Amino acid sequence: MIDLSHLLWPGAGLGLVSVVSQGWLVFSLILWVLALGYSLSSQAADPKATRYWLFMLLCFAGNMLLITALDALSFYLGFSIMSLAGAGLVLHSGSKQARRAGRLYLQLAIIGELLLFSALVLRAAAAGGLYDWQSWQTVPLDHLTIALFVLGLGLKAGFFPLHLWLPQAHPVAPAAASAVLSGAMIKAGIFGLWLFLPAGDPLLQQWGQGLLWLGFGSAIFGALAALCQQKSKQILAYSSVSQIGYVLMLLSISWLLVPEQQALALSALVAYAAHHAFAKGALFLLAGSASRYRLSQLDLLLLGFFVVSLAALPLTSGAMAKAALKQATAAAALPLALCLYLGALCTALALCHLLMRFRVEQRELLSRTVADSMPWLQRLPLLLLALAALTLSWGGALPSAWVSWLPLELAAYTGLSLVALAPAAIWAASWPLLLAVPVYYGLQRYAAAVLQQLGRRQRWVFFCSLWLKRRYQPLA
Amino acid sequence: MQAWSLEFLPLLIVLSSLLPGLLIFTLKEQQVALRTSLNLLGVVLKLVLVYVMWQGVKAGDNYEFRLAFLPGADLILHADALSLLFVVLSSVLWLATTIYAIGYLENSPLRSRFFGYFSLCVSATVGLALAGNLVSFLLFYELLTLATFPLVVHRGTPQSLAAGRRYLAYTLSGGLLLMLGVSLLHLLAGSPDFTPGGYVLPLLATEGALLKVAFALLIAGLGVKAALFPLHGWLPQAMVAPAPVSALLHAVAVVKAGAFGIVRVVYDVFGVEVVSSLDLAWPLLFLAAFTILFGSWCALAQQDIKKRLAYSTISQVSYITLGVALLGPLAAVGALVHLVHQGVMKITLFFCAGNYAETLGIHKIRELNGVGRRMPLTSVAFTLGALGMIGIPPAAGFISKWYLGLGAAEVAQPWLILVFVLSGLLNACYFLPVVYRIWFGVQYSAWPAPQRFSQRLETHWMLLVPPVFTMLLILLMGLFASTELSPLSWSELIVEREFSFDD
Repeated sequence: MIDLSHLLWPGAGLGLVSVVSQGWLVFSLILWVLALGYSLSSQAADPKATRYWLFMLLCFAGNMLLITALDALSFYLGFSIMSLAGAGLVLHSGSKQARRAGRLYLQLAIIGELLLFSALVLRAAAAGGLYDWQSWQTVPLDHLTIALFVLGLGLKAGFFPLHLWLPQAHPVAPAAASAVLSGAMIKAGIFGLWLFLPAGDPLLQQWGQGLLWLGFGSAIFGALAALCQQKSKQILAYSSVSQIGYVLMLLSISWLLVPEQQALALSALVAYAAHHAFAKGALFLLAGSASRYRLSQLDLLLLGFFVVSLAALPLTSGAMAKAALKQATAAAALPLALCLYLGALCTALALCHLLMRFRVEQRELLSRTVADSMPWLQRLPLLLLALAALTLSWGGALPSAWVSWLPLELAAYTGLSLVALAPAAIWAASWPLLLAVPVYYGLQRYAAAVLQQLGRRQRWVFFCSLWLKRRYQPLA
Repeated sequence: MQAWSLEFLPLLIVLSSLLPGLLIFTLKEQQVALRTSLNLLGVVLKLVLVYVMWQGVKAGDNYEFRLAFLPGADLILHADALSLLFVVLSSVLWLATTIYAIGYLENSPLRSRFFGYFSLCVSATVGLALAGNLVSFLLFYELLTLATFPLVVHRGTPQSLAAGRRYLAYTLSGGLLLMLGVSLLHLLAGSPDFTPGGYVLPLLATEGALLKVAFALLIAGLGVKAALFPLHGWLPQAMVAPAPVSALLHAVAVVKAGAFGIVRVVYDVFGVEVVSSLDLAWPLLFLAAFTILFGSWCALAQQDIKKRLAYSTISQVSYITLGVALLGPLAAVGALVHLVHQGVMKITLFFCAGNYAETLGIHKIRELNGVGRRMPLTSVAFTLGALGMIGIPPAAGFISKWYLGLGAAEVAQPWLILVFVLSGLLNACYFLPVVYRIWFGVQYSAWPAPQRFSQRLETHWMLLVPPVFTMLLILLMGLFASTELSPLSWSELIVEREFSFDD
């Protein structure tokens, strides 16, 4: 731990004192570095590249700082740098969509930050003026503080119903930016909840139940809303709403479990977050490339790999993450088995839709122009992300000297991957998928128009945002 | 430390700007070099003297200069930790503003008059900071009014004359109220030196009602300069003054003099104990909270950059009053540190507004579209100042807001956190659209009145260096808040000394 309290502010410190923050740092760092590498190619011809790199690196710094922060103020510093610089990424293209999405993002980000600020002040005051994470662990919470934390950080995490900005902002940002927005930055909200709400608190038991169901609701809502969208990036964004719901569920389960079993849920939390970061990050990068380049066989293979991974088919990191989720729900003795099947079905439907739209968009592109093949500088990060996902689920099988320095519990994760290979587990993972194909076909055949209609029902968000803007910025 | 320096250092600090100021009045308009060197000599001399005094006060030396003035009330210049906070702030920002003003007024008429009053104004501010009792404070307070008036009307346009008249009407009536308050208190308790914990405690049992009247008079008198609602009317109008004057008025001289006076009255005249037992803090608290929101609300509607900044000042200065009225040690730290932080942030914003006006002729917010490309350094400074005003780290404003929030929770008034949150929200509403225009807006017409001051820099170097310097201060104060040099550590020292009387 680095003690900075004599330099910055009382209690300031940086360090990685828990497995959660170590694991979080590792997967965020991998995704960030690869996304930055991808931007080398994707922003090469961008006239506003300097601005892009400035905001991207600011976000990067903020994200790393908030993970390594050991006190409230350092976390808040990292969080606000990341949030505000994120606005620069959303606004980057300068198109009409980008501007209105950026406005919405900024409005909600500022509200979220101020809510977080008041939560932190209340918490610091309750702790007798101490800000460091350690001394907050034993201070009892109260309902107002928890509510402020959940709202303030939830606006960043983007689970239902705080997701409003997310499906608008992710699609308009440059591809690499949406990859990190979705893979690393929205998870900062969940990370903050883990950091600031001490798991042993009795009040969290009550909140845990509610947030568990909220997370599940978000998982279902996101997947169904994705079905109503037509653009691949928007489908991916709604899928993020759905996946962050599962991450929130895991966090709530860790609060509900007895202290001895909490490590189980937290390890599952890191596994799920890492899996989603790699798979969703890669899919956003692919979506960005697919809008400009022709996808080769290898790229299609990669696309299939990550989609299958998100669908949690056996052998993939998704199967490992789902197995971890099931293990944690079983430990908490929660009657969620049926719900998880329902969730798997919805996810599978959304992914079918994603593949269909990818195909349509690729055809449209090729009918318009003779697109080049995707450059290797863009393919390489994807390959490395696939490698990272494989290591996450099967790294435990490698010689331990190779992977033991990684602060991820790879051996346990490989054990979970093996659990997912049992015949019963394979069947449990496959039938929602098998069911999804005919259901999706039926939906497209009979309800496509209705779904598209529903997809357009999100404009009210912009009306509200614009109305709000007119209040504080009247036309001159 | 030798005895003579303990006695005369406070006087020398006041004279180090007063004498050059008086000399500058006698200079001819063309004697630019002499005038500039006199100005800079005064600034540098003052900074050196302030540094010596700062080290002394930290070590616990007692600087005091006494002169028989009125029967029962000497003219006292006394340096304690609190006065030094204000002295350091005003001398450092005077340095920045002097350089800025020299660049800003290059080739404009009546510069001797301007710089003469400018120096007088700083002398009055420093004297007010060092004043050791209420009578000396009053003297410098009135002097400040008189020294700033010619600066406000400097341009001589009908608009600025009107603003000047209004300014004078407000501040002179404020001064009158303050004088009534001081004389009432003088009748009751005499005019002893400012003491931590106040000196009116013995009167509490017998003269409670009169003490309340005196407090109301003092706060009303000081509230005019501190722009407390409903006494703020002069401030937005005084915007017609040249940019360096507005910068100084809003950051150090006038507005801060009022806020500083409120700090003095609450802590060193009445004392926390008397204020809380007479229930005097409540009205002040509500008034300050209302002013915070009111000022921000009005700022939203302004389309002129300087007007918007002016209303923002009304709101931000009330943070100080609010922190003082909370009567807790943490809130006091927040209030004192905001005295410095707000000064530095607001002066940066005004420097930038002046740069936009001088270099490109931009006065309205809508003309700012895309100016970030043309004037990147100024725009970065403006952005940081604006983020600081909203209270976003790592800008300094966050530290003061954090301490004010903690202080509100400490004295069990968590609803005030809501005031800070709402004010932060309103600040974001009127600053972020400006920042958006600067960086992301598309320029839709030519700049109103572009000038080329420099081949390589975006504007004249004398206009560019001050905002960059204060911008760095904002960052340093916000990031390295725990170091010994930071205003935060110094405010903690003050609070330690002010609140230690009841241990």
